[in-house]
Amino acid sequence: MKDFIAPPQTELRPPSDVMRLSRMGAMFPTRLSFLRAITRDLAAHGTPPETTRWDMCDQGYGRAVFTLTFHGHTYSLVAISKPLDDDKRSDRVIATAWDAAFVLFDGIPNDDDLARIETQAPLQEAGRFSEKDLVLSRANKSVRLWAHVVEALQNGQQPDADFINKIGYLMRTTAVYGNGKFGIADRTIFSDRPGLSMSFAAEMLTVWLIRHFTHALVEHVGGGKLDPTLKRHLGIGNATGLGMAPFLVSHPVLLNNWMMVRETALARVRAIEAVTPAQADHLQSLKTRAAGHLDQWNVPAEEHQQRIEALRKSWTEFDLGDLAAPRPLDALWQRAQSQSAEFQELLLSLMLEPFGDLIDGLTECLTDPFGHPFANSGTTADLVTRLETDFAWATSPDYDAADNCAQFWYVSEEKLEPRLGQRHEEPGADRESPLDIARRIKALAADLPGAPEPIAAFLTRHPEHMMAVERLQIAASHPYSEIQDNLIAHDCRPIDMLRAKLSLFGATKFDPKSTLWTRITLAQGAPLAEDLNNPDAQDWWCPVL
Amino acid sequence: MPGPVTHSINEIEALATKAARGSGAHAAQAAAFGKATAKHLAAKRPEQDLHAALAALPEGPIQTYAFAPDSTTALGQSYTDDTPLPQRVTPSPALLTDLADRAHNTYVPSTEESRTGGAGAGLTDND
Repeated sequence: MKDFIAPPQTELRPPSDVMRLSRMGAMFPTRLSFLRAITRDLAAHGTPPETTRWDMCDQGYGRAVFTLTFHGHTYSLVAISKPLDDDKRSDRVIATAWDAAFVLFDGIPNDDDLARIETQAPLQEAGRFSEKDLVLSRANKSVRLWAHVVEALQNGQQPDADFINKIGYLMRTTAVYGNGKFGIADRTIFSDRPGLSMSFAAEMLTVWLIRHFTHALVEHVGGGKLDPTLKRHLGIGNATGLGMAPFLVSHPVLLNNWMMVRETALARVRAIEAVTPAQADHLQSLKTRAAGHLDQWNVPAEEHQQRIEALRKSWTEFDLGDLAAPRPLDALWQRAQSQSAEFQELLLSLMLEPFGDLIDGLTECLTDPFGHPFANSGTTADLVTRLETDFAWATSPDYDAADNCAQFWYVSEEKLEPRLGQRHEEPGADRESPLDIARRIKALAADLPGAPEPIAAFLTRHPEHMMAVERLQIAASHPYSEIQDNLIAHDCRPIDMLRAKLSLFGATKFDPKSTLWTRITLAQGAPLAEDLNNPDAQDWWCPVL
Repeated sequence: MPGPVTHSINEIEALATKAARGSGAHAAQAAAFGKATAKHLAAKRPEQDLHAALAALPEGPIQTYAFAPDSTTALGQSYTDDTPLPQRVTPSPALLTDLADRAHNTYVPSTEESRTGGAGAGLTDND
């Protein structure tokens, strides 16, 4: 067995830089994002989806099943499409009806399975599911684009490319549930299977298959085939709100692992001593393509549109420099440090893109197989040291000051929708969710004894500090485990947390609607089923139509 | 669906965690109780231990077993048990009702303001 010799790398960016909301909120997808990784894996170890059931009326209502194999296992997307009145269509978690409901089924569903899913899936959170149901999701049509594409196909024409580019998807998922919710399978049931061990692999596979379904459905209703170039540019939209943000706080080991993969990839690429002329050309052409992608990224929210325009300008003006010089990527990276965070993060994505051979293997670390059991050993002296060296960001603020505790996270009784409240203006803070990590850490610091005390004894006296102690223990071996910002401050923007997680998924075309939620596109430009045999189809960073 | 309603491990852990927090457990202790509940059910230990521990909050074993479990008790064993979990567990309706009622204390009643101020829907965070 060959020894694995890790490639050289520069120092990693410090967590004090990387784990700030302002930078996390500037992240872009990379070739190590989950959707990129899974489409590569599908091409290498999967079969294209086959339509194993198509029970749809002419208007596109009924049910469909698409089946594929992936690393030798069989999976099926079951899609249930029902008529929906326009005034019932809502992207909110509190909606109760949708255009389509989906289950990713473990195997090929028989008639009984299908009948069960047909009843339960449209109920979504109100339904019950089994361990054969791996993922549960639902989606709503982009009504205008849907109608346009159907009409064009019915007239024997192709839809308008500009309109396709403007919207970017035929349907928008408004939730993709995994890991045991509502009785579906725990991810541990399949997470030791090749292909599905990566975080959110099952969910990403589901999204890719839902996209496939939307293409098939619109072609069915329109009675014609879409041009593959246009079809490829139709991803799946998503409306993402606060529900996603707490995950980053409640999964510190996973967050660390995801960020560590990204930072390690950057460090490896920066350490490259020389690039070939072909690689240099590739970088230049990717930079140009990214400029085209930025040109096609327009959003209604003015502040965000201005950020995009500023980025377009600085991107165009920035020169990649002499790529024939030694360590050209590190030189380019250093020069970019005077640019905005968003520029730097886009540059990071560019720098990673040509070097799959060097970094793609890191995707194996995009998971947490071990967890982090609480260590009931050591003394409070360890905690004191850790607080001093790594947690000034948490212990500095005064959390009694109104601005520093202005917001609180909570779960609404209504459909269990996560919300962010204003502590000084509305009730509910007595039921606050425990996401105020920084404040808890400072509270721990205030109660630590002068002389070292065993952890168990300290917690017996102060059981309320156990969570903060756990976080400090995790941080000792997981440098990127904490978002180093005050999540209850008046200026905490959940959108920054959403963008971080969504870029790790592989989302593009961020379209923030407020500081609380955003629309995005997933799998725009991704390989189609028919593309799985074509290696060029994996080159879908910064898609341009 | 025919037969008893089985549950995933994750959803029982999440529900029991909220039940504990909704009854006054500290956050980390509530999470540890969530994990122990799944193990307790998987090992078919008495559900009464779970009811009693929740009823004792904000005092009692839930606040301490997370860092100092008493392995002479059945509940304590569930905290330290490292037997692999089954795919499903089947809590009784009575336990589910107790857990749901207690978990309800972690939800904030909705008002028109909070609904209109709330955000759009999204990909879930896997509790």
